[in-house]
Amino acid sequence: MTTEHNYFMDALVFLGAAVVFVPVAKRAGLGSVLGYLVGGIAIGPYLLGLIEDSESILHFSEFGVVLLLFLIGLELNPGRLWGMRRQIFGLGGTQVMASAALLAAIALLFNFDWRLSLVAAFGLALSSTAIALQTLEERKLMATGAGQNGFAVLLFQDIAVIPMIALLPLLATTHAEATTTPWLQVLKAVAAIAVIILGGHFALTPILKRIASLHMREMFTAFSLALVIGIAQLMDYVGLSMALGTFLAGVLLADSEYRHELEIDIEPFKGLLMGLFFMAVGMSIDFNLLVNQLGPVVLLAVILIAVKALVLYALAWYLKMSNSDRLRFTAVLAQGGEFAFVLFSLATSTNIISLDDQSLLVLAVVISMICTPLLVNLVEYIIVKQHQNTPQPQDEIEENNGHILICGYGRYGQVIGRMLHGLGHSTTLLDSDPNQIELVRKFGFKVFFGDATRLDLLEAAGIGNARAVILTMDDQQLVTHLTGLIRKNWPSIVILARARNRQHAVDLYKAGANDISRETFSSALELGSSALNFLGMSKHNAWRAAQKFRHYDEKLLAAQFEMEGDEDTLIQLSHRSRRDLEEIYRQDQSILEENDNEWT
Amino acid sequence: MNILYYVVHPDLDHSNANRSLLRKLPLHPQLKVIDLYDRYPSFSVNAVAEKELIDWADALFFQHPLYWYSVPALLKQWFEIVLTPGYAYGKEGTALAGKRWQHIISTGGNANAYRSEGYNQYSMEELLRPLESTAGLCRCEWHEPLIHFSAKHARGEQLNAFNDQVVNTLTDLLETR
Repeated sequence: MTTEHNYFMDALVFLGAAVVFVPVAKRAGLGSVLGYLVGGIAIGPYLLGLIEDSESILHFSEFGVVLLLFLIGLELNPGRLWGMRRQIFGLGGTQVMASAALLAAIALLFNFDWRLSLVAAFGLALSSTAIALQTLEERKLMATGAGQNGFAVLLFQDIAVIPMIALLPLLATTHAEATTTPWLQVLKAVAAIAVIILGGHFALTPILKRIASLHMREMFTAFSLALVIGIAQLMDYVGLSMALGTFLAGVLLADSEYRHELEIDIEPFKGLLMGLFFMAVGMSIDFNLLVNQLGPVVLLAVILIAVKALVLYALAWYLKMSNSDRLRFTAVLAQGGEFAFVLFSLATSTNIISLDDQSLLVLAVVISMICTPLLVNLVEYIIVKQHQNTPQPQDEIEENNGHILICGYGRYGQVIGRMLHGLGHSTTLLDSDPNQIELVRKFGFKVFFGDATRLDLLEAAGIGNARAVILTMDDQQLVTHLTGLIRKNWPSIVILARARNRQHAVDLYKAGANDISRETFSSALELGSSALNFLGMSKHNAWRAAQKFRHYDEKLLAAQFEMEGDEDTLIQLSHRSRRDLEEIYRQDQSILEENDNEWT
Repeated sequence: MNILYYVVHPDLDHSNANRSLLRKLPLHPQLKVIDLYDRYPSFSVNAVAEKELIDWADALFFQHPLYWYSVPALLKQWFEIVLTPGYAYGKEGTALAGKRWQHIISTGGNANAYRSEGYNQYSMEELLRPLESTAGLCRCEWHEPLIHFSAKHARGEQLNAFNDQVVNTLTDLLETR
């Protein structure tokens, strides 16, 4: 009973610290990462001492990084990943090699053992995926040159850590006893990756569809989490990086229509675990060591940051990034990362590094991590200052080719979607019924499954750079609500909506729709014009009569909309439409009687 | 000879002259009569379908009233949509080359109005120059238009005389190989 109580107490302490420190840090413009780190320091053993066991928490919360990489994988379909290969291996490879070489050279200059120098240099060359990506995302820099290139570098590092860990035993002075035959190990690893690729490719989408059609959100969430944890465990079992395995699964699911739904389900867990991870990092700072070894620790941290910043800045300069991209790219990646912890503790267990050296290195990495948000802030300050002095340059964010977002893909939406798609417009579809969207994926539509009233889903579907949103669901209330919601959050976007009837049309205009179409009105006009034709009017004249009626009725509608702006919103809806209809009939008699005598 | 015969009148029901001529046109497999306002009531001319017809035809006739010294709006629209560069004119635009092009025009005013001293100030020949140039640019064989003056109140003899003139022109053409 007492242990259970402790768990809840721990959770309360962590969540409390997050709620207290993160908003303060955000408000101060320092970013959430620093808030978590400081929160971790506060509840850690050296200040309040509320949580003692920082190491196991650090280990547990590293799963946040695993989830993070799954989410990153979801953003990258195999095609995009392939397209980034030069950035990843060229830029990433150069960064790791150059940083490691420089750091090793400096260590050798100080007469350290060469093995120690080598391991330390490679460990420190890796940046923190968690901190860098969190910072990029939080400051909305992912789409900039700094974000794209930074991401490529981080991805390379995540891959590079695998051979580093694998090669570590070769440097060991005392050999760890071989556990299994190496070829069996390799076979297992290959089999595991094959399972992920084949399963991800063939089995996952049908399973996700089955689960989605249950319409139980928690089942979808449960499956998403089970999937990620399962893959992580499989990778762990065969001795590969958990993060890389889930990244691979993410990439395979990147083309799936359930991608955004998965993202949204995993996102909060990732966020909380990442927060926990940052707090654990803060807690792990050994203040006794810091005070005793202040000089060496600070020197080490400064060298670490300086060397990495130098390499990054040089690379950014070589790639001709813009000034602000260069500065951001440098600041965001100039720190040690969580993989250094893993590498160093492994090196310690194989006696390459002494326990004292390990603590020193880890402390320097943690300090460099804490410096990142500060460095980023400094850089942003410099960029703002420069912008103030020079005339405003062109927007650096790459203009995403505006697409058209269609919410609701039933019979109504399909006509619009087919038409726009046929004319070569990039269309994104959103529907909550998996059966509606399954088929059209094959024809190159971007299709997402989910509830359109969720802002995060709209955002994930790219409403931010959409040229227009078309709402075609048949639920009136939903369309009105969504119109208001979108108008409030994206004030300048074009909203086109399907209206069920007159009253709905008025409501939609009020909610902020740019244009509406009354679904029955147009087809009724068509049939009416056909009736006139059968009654003996020529087709052209019947068509003109229908057009004339359309203009007339639209004018009435506009007048009705204006009128309702200021008066009697209290009148019951049914009364209102009835009164309107009477008025319409009265006016019809006068206007349509006008004779049409334009031709001889 | 294949004849493509367009009738272009926005309100055929109220044009006695145009309707009576239409009734006289011979039924013949090589004569295609097309009511353009019935075919495209909303002006959405289908260029592909029209070009198919043109390719089939050896002669193009346009029967229409004279509106503002020109063709009715839909025929102008038809010109713009169908007679495209590369098809009807310009480099390699030879689809209409050598085809006969002739207008059958009804007017409200009488023949005297279409003279330099009449109230329209110009002769019909001068007024129709834009149409002649249109046919010319398409490398068509321009034939003098058949003009039914004072068509609005034409009855009996006058009507028959003009209608016969048109019908004879068509039957002569249909008989030539």
